[in-house]
Amino acid sequence: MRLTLFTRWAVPLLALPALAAAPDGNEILKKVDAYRNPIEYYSVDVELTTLHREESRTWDFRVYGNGSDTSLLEFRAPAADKGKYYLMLRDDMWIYLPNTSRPLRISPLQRLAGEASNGDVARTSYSVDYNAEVAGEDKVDGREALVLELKGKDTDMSYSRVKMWVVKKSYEPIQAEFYAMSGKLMKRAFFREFGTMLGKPVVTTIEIQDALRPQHSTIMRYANLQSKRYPEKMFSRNYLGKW
Amino acid sequence: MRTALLCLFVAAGLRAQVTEDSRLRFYGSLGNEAHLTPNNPESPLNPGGVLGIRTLTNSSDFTLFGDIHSETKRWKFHFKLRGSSELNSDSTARGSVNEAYWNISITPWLDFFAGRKIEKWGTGYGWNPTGVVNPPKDPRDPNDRRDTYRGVDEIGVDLFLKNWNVSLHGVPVIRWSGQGDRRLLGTGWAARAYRLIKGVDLSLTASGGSGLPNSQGLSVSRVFGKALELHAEAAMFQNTIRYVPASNSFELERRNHAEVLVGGQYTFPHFVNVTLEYYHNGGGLSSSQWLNFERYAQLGASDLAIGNPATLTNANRQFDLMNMGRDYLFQRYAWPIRLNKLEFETIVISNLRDGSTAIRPGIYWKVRPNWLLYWIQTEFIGSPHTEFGNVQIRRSSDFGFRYHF
Repeated sequence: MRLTLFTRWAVPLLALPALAAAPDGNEILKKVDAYRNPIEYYSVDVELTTLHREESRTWDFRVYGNGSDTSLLEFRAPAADKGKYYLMLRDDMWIYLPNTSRPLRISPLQRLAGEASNGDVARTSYSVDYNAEVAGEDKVDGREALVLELKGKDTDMSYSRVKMWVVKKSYEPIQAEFYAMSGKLMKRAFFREFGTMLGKPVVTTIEIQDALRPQHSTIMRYANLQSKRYPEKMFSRNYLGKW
Repeated sequence: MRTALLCLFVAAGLRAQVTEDSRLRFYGSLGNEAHLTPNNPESPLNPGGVLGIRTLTNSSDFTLFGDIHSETKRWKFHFKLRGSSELNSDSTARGSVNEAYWNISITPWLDFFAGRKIEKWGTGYGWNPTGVVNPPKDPRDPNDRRDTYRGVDEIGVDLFLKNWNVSLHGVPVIRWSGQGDRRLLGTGWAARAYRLIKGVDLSLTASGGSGLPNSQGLSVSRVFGKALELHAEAAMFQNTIRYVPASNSFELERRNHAEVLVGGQYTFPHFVNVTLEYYHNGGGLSSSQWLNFERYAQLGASDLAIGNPATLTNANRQFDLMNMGRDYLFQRYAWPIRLNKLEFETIVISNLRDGSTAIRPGIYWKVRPNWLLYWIQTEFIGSPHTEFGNVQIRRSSDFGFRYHF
């Protein structure tokens, strides 16, 4: 009887720390997201450099975030793109061009700059779009890593599957592979550098490589993260260009 | 007077906000275009090249956008100044204030604005039936490559209520130019209610008064999957007035009409983007009115032969390209040969009644991130009995550059 009570109550209680030490894939993914964006309401400067053979081009953006699935991009450089805005509300996207003064509805395939899709820059949360499972363990550059298998929550996502390597102890993202619905590898992301912003550890440099055209790559650098809640109307299609 | 009013307006806006830090931002572009436009002697409006349109002309322009806003972005003053010069039979230069407005966020859900402002309502690429406050659009140049758009003088509020955005505009029609005769010609109003409903952009519009057409409209757009966007607009207009061709003359016609646009765009692999639109313009000329116009142009040629140019001059004045028919098809093909570097674009606009077409291929080369070189070739295809066959020039070759700063 005592043994039965012990097995019924004590064994599960003893096992709790072990369970807590191994969170499921979705919990890990939320921790990965925290490295890209540790706060919900923010603005951050993004410098995006595309590299193609010997040639490079740079864009400067400021990204304003309002929750995990709403963001606004302000183009700051080059001069030809100044005054442009890009709004992402979950899966709906618009671009505002100052010479037409009109928000244009755009589809996910229409690119922002270089190898970076619109979502790469504007979206900082994987957990909004994907469900994750721990698929195994691996070693990357001498670091113990967990391999996460991310599956898109919607069928019409740009990348239906993502394979991601994260540091086993800290869940710091190391690299990711993005696959199309057909199973074709489309691009790779490398989380190159980390720093501290607003007292929190964050990724500061991401490199995106085009798997189909290996000579094309894009580097995104993040800086000047600020915690601020902007008015809701700023994230409205008809407010683009008005502030 | 205009400058003084503008300065007063700016000062009032800025003075109200002296306690807040302000920020300045300027950007713009300058460009030059050479145009090669040979006469079309087969056009009934330019028989034998009688109009003597200059073959080689040149246009230069300079546009400066400026934003002055508070640190918190609670208020903003925006302007667009444009200077241009045209070198054709004689040289002309002009400067204009194309935008100058002040926007203040009174509460998180209420904005107030006043001044001259460019608004672009609607979802269409080539035409916008619901764009009652929009600047006139040329479907051959939907992105306004030379920044020519000029705003309308208006005052209004933007309300952000729940998930709705309601814009109310009061539009005084002011005649600014003219010696000692600056006055209010009329007043109009326009309203738009917008909401995103399950991924669909939905806008309801209405306008009226003596300064704007009486209209009610609807526009929608939605993205399907990763590559397809569909959009539509429809508007009803009441009591619109237009000079229409009658037998050997023009007469005023007052009528109700509808305008409808249906279109979509699809992005193929390698970012090739195709846009297709069908546009029905109930305000255009009917078949019989077009036949009357043709007869009138022929009469103009006969009158010219006996030394009277007035009829032909009037026919040219009344020829309003892409408003002489009722049904049009717009096609645009954009192919980035090298992303962000070299792009090929072709726009094709067809009059569905007579089959005549304007085809406008163009190539754009970003030499540097801020330097653009381009060549746009516009060909008008159609017999002398068709709309595009009546265009007074045979073709237009535009060679240009633009520098952004």
